[in-house]
Amino acid sequence: MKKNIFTVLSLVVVFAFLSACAPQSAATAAASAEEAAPAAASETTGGGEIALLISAAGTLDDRAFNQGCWNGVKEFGDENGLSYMYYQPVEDTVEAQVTLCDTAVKAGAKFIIINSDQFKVAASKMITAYPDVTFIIFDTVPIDDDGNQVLTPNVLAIQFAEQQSTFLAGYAAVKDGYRKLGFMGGMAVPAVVRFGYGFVWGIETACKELGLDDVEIMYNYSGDFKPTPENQARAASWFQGGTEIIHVAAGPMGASVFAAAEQNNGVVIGVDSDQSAESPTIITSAIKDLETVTYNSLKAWKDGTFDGGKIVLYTAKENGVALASMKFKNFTQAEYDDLYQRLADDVDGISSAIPTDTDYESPDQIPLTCAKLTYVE
Amino acid sequence: MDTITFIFHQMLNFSIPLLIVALGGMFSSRCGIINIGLDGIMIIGALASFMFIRYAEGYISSQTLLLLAILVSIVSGMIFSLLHAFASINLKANQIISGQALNMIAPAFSVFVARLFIGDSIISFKNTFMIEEIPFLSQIPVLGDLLFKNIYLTTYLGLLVLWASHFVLYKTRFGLRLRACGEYPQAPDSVGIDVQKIRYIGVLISGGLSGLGGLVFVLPNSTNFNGTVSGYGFLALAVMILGQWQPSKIFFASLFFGTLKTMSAIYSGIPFFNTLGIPGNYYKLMPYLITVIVLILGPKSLAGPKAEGLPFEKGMS
Repeated sequence: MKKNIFTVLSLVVVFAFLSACAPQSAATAAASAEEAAPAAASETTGGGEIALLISAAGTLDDRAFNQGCWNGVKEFGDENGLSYMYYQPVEDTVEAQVTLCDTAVKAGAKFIIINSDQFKVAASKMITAYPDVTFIIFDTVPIDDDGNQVLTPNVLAIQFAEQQSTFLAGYAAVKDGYRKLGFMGGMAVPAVVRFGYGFVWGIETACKELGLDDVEIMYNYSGDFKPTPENQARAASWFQGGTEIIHVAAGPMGASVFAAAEQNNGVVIGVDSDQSAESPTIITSAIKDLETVTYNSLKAWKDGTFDGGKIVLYTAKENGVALASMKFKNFTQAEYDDLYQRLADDVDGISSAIPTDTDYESPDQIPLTCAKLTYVE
Repeated sequence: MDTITFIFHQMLNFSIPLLIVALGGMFSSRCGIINIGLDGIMIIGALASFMFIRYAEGYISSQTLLLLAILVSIVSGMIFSLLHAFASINLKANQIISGQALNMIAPAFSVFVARLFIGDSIISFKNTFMIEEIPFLSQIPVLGDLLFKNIYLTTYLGLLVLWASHFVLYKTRFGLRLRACGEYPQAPDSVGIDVQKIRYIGVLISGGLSGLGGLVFVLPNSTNFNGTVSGYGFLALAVMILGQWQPSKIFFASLFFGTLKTMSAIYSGIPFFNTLGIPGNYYKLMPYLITVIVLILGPKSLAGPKAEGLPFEKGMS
């Protein structure tokens, strides 16, 4: 009996630790493996000529980047009578990801979309193993085991200037009258970091233009992408402590921040896709237009104009980033259009001045002269 | 004062679901069946109740809707826990494995069902369930702010469950029989009590409470349910063990856990804690560190029900 109790005790402690520390505990990783199969089966319309690969840490219906991408796939597939399917690995290891790609190709995939920077090493193996299959990969560039970039003619690496969309958001929020702002990221992966830095820089720019001295920024990476009481409580405490608006860049975790905003009269800026339907507290969303880019890439592939072997960057100039469903009080559409145009044309180096993930190791290193940033580690 | 009220309310978000689920786990353990499937049952309870809320939303007033959703979560949790009861009581299977099976199937089942019925693995809901103020009672100094403002019906329900658990376990004949089945099932068997029936009821109670816990857990913390309760079923097991399988101690253990968890999440937003300058990781480490210390220091009192985890063969001793 004693033995039994201690078996349970050790299990409990192990799981409590896992679920708290690791973003993907053993139990949930196993679960996501199982959920991929039935979920994918219910969406498929055949063998899956178009395949979407997503990370083990993500979910398809995340109201954010995976969902945006999937919408583009569905729209194109339905219009052109092509079947589509999504795949999710058991865990984010190179072996699991490569196996996943083998499965997709065996099931008939001709066009594979990789929507995760977790796949960068596995992607280099996939694109060389299947030269007849066309690939696009978002947010990263395939690298081999030694860290060298691999760009074969059948792959297109697509990146977004996330920092420009949040630059717009941060700038607009300060212009609209918000003085205490917060940024909550998921894990500090490059795309999330770019969202964060752009937001900070947008705030700083508006702060300088208006000559303010009372602008404060809270900044945090939660370490996961999940809606948990911890994330809800953190957001609630920020609102309670005076933060007026939080930009959350963490996929499904956003739901916790929306809940906190609803309970504490706060407002939120969403991310990736237009999230305004999720909560009345969302005053705008900093989006990268995965849906359109996915759709257009598929179209180019079908028309035979797919031009691979390179990296493309979508910025304001290409209409790759934007603010969606703006509900500001003072910041007008005209001001937005003007700012957007300046970003697109890089007037006075406004867009090239925005820091990106490679510029600074942590947000408190960004040189700010106007806004005051508190980095919560 | 505002800060204290705020911390208290955040703490309830953590503590009440932990309390309810830990009490559920206690009923199962006390009748001799280890139920480590609490996490999975929470997921099923949340799944069923939020599916119900999604379809019934807008037709009835929000508090009635919540009451009905509570019923749905309890019933669905009970039904799901029957799997565990059948495997461990009738088939005499290893209870750890059968409990873990529930944990593994639940998230996958949740995604599958949600996609099947609503075409989306995430079930969104509108949170209209918070009671802003209860007339008269909210005027009581201090207590009024803490307990009768901005509160959920489920908080009171949690306290009711606590009282009921204590009453049932210690003041009723059924409670005595339940405890006997967990300590030495041969004894109740010798006087003609159906041990299997008692154990079935124990597991069903744990299923009902865990299902309810799933609903209570998701309600204040998100605007949707996406097939996970972030491992809080396991945390509830820890609360149960820390609370030594006794309702009153489980209550304090859940408050203790809730408070530490709250501190670890909110220190950054409260100026007082910011000025202390303690690195955030210490706050995050605390709940686990203290649990481990308590578990190490208190092995004597952590005996648990003696027959827990052992299948019962009628007429054998």
